[in-house]
Amino acid sequence: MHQLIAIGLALLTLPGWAQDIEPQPGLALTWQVGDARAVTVTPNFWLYVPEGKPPSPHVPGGRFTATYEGFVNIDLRGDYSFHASGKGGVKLEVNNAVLLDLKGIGGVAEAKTQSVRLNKGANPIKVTYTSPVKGDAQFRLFWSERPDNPVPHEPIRGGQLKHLPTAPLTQAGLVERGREVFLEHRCIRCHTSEGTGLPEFAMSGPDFNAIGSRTHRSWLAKWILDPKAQRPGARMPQLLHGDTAKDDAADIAAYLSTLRNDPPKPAAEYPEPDLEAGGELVRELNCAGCHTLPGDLAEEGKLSLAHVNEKFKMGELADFLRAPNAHYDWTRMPKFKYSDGEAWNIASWLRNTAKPHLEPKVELAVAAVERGKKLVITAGCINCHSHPGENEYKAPDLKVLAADQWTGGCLADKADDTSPHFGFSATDRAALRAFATTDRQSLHRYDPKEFALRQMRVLNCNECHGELEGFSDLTHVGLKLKPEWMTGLLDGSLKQRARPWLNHRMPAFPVRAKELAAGLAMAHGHAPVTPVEKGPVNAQLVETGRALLGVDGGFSCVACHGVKNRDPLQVFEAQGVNFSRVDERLHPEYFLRWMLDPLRVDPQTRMPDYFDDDARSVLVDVLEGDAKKQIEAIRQYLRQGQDMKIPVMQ
Amino acid sequence: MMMIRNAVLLALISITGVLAQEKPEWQVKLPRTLQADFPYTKAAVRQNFPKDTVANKGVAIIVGREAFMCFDTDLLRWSAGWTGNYLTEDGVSFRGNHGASPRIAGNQKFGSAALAGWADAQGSFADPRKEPFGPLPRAQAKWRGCYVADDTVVLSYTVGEVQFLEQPGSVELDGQTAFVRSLQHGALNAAVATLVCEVENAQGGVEDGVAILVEGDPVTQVTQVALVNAPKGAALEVHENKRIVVKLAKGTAAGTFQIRIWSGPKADHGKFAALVKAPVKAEFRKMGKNRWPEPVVTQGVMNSSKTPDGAYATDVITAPERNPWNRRVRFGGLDFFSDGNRAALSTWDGDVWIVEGLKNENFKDLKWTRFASGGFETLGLKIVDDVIYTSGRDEMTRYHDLNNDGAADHYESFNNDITSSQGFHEFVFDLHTDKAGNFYTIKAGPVRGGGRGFGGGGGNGHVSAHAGALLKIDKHGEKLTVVATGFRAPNGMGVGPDGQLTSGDNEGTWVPRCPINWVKPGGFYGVEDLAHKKPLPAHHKPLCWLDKGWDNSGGGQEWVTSKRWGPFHGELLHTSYGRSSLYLVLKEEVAGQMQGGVVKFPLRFTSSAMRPRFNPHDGHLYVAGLKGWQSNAGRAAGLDRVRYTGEKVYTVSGMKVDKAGVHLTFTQKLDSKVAADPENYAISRWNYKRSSAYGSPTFKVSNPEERGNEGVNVTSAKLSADGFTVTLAVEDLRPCDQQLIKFNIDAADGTNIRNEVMHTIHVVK
Repeated sequence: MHQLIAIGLALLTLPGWAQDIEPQPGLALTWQVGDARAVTVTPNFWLYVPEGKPPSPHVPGGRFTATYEGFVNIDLRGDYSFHASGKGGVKLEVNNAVLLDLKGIGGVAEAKTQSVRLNKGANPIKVTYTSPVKGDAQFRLFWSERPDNPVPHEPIRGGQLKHLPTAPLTQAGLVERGREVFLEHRCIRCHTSEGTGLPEFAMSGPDFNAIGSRTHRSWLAKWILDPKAQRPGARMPQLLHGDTAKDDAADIAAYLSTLRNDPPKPAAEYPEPDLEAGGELVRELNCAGCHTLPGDLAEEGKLSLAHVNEKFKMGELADFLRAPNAHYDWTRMPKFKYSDGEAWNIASWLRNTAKPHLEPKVELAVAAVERGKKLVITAGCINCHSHPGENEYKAPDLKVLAADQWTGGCLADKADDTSPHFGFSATDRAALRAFATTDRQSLHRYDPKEFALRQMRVLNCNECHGELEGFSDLTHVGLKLKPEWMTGLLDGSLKQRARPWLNHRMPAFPVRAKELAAGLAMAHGHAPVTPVEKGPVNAQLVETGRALLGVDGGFSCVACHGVKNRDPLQVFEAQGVNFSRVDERLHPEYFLRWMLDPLRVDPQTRMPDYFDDDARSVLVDVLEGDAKKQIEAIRQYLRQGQDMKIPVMQ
Repeated sequence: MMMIRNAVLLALISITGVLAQEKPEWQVKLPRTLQADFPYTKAAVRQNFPKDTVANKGVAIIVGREAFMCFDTDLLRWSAGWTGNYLTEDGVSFRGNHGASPRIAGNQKFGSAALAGWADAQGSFADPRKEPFGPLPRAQAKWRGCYVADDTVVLSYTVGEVQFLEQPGSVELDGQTAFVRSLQHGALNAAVATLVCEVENAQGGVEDGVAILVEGDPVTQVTQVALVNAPKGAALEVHENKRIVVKLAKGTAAGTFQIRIWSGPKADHGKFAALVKAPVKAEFRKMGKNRWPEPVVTQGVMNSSKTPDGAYATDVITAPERNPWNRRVRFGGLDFFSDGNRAALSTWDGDVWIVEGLKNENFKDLKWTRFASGGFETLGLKIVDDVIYTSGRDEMTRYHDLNNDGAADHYESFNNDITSSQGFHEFVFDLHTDKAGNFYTIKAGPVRGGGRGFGGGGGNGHVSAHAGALLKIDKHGEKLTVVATGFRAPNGMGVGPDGQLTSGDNEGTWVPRCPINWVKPGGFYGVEDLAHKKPLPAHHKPLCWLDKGWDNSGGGQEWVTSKRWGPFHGELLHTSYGRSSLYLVLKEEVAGQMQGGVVKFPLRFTSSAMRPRFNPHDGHLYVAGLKGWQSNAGRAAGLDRVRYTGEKVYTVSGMKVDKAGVHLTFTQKLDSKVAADPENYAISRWNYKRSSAYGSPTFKVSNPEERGNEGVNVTSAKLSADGFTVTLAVEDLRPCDQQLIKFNIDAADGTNIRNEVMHTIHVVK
């Protein structure tokens, strides 16, 4: 509301704007490579593009310019300065005055503006960035609200940046949505011949191998007949139509039910589950972020768990929970690293809460199974689901499907009896058609940052992050975490969690991990591989840093933070991350800002600020009382990781 | 000095490369966690048997070479005697852990359950208290304090009307140690009985003047008790085959006698006779030599920080953080002597320090001397008629230097009615007096380790009668009364010139943010577990809440009684322990409800800001603090003076809220153009929810269920005719838990005033 008011004021002061255009979050960004142009909306002023790679899926690779336009909203008139860092050329205009005009900040360099008075409300801002002649493109624009203070510049908060929507932006948004629908519905699996290099092209459906051991035949039959009837958000299309559909589905299910584990799994003994513990885990891990639990009302966009008994055979739900990706690498269901007991308790709680199911015993007719097998090969199933044998299903090549043809078949406004039914909404269809009118070269251009931001939406990251207490906001995650550590977090290979005491736990998205981490780094202007820090740790600073973290003569950081195998001394409510895990996680730039004023970075944190606004330390005798020097000493100490010596803890 | 081999684990780690080598050893050694060169340590002392027994107000006394006894000042019993090592360093004020308090670290020889140390008129030792906390009924027996004379401690208490002095000691012969209780008593007009010790699962009786309890079948362990110089009619008895008691008959004349206690393997039981015969002197001395004659000299630092307008500056009265006794220095109480040159400071570790030289130019050559030690987390100090009083977890203590040598000899228990369980979080904060001379202190609730909830036993303690209560003790120390309840961790309070009580508190369970409480007698201030009333009383709303960045753990308040401290005479000041900050409180009363907020004095303190006090001599504010739990404080202890420099002050000095808007009054005439431009003000606001969770998220005022903050529009800014007050017309002005006003304006003389006010609106009238 505050921002709206601020914007409202800006509108009053800037005649010529249509009053009914509501400013939207983010900045308008125009990419230009040679003659090619594309517009999009971007959250902030930062990017990283490897040399020669396309900066966006919608323009080719090569030297480019990125023009950011929008408004920065402030709540109080004051003096500000801006700080650009990276490589390339930067022109910064604020309130129509040029504040920076640099041909090239060569190497990784930085430039700072003089103080500039900004008005309360919306201040027009425009940044023109030109990629360097040679080398990767890298750019970040930060600002300072107190340019007179010797504290580092910081990111402009996301909510403060707005832009006015335009017709080209709206159209570009539609194209982007169309491309996403295209990729997420695996269109390319049938309409082949176009597209390379996007991770989505490797995305398939669940493996048919041993599917009959995992799922009930009766549920498979229902699902195959009409996936959306089981799950409104299903991306699998309805493939079977007409009078024979029901029989066809039954036969396919019959066939699939014969695909069993070979050799069969050893007979399992099912222990007595702890249902209460299972239910508690379901709550703690916020399953309801993505699912509606058995007994809950259906909610759009959430996968109902009402049917778990119908679908999963005895014991299979627990196995699925333990390794959701065992038969489907690209499943959106993440891996929580459950112990056997936990998975069994959750599965049992869900089974106990959901509607009971008794699988009817049916003698399978050999003919039906044979017919089902044939249908699997001919109906298109194995375009997405792996299965041995020749695929006899043919769909038109994408190349031959000109834009005007994207109105029939799967995309017909009214479903016909021959094409797969995806149940696309009118908006989805319009988006797909908008995408169709492009040159579709975006299917050849992989932009990791675009992938990462899109996947964060697809994977519902924000159902927990920024929503629930105890979850960090992800807006600036790429500024904070080093991509190597993020990869380990996302692929589940980290040996130690950063916060093992939390009931919540971050699950793994193994197959996406590396690309997500690289993309998030690049979207925040960091290289996908963290440059190795030059030089050994400074032994003298290490000792000073160690003293600063200790009780006697230091900040008593060990009250809340553990060190290697030592627990923190006296935690109230908010434990801090073990010191041996800090350097592997945090970018030095972020670490400095965090240490200087944690509440500026995260208003909900319980970490106190130890330094004054003018970057002075209360420990005036250490390193001249210079906060930045003290923080650097602490960082040098933290760089040692597991080699650090324990600080004084009493 | 007493030899205590292995008694205390000394952590003597030098800080490499920080300090020059030529300094004396004590200047480079880390302070010790536990003190071995003072005859006792007060703590909630855990014993090995009887199982799970704790002396909630224990005095662990060094009674000989590797011999120790613990006295429980609530029950007036000896809870344990042991040999070997002294105490473990467990405890929040020792090694810093939450939960467990110190346990006896040696080989326990005798012990007693939580029974009365002196029987009631019917001869019963059963615990007569309503709850197992706080002292015995005074008519039964009463703790009076102790005398420290060199290495001896003499305990003082009354049984009925009769004065007793008791000096614990020990005797060692042939590898055996007997514990010696030397008692000096007045004439007895009634029979009395004292509990000596208890042994579970024993057999016993009295033979040849020796009370014996044996364990095991066949016997493995023997406990023996004998009297030395017993008065006529004195008797040893064994009760219930487990308890040894001593009875003194009615009519016993004033005199002295000893009780000697020994326990050991059966094979050694014959050695007790010699231990009984060995002479053990007890002189019941009430004063001794000053054990800390040499002062620690420190140099002050002037102008360590200044407000942007230059009107207030801090000067550091450098604390004796390194001292020859390797004592930890963490200030918890502060007050001034009438000479204006000296102040006394109590520490969390139980010491009282006196600093001399406050009149010295630039605080040169400040002389710090130790005056007293052994207190139980003494986090409050007050000087009345140049006599020092402290508040601790066990009692209010009054200190007497009987021989005038600069150190206390008599630690008088001024009032010990306060209840205390084992909980690590049962801090007793601050000490003030009102005009009539009554004392006020405030006790925290037994917060559980981890921060949420209260009590539950063990190291988390129990909710006892005074948990989370503001307490009043009359000027004679006779009576303790509960003034108000429902506080969680109020590290500091205030008493106004007219007696108005205030307190801070610490965000946590039932405390959504740190409040400044305007305390009324009988009031309830929010923590439901600590209301001590049923049905639950209505919550007395605080004067204001303070968001985390302003205060996450409140310190004490102080009223500006000085007319030499700038334009704020009569105003209220608040300190933040967690944020080490000093605030001016802006306040108004609307329809019987106090409301307001704070504006910060942007100054830097050496440690936390916790005990603000005006020095009547120089008229400046002094702020003492410690760093002992979560805080952004720098050093372990700090004492700073906030000095008014005489420069012009540029800040807010008053605030009122009514239907016309928010009225902010400044200390200087404002620039009429800049101050009247609403663009130079920004307001945001939010609400909290009080709950059993820790703190609270923020919620929108316009939609109480939606999380977050919201901006509100300043539609106009009007400057008053005199140019000092701005009235901000605010769209949708209404009550809210928290409102933040930011401004960036100029005074009429062009000086920029950029600051923020954090406040609460309860009523818009």
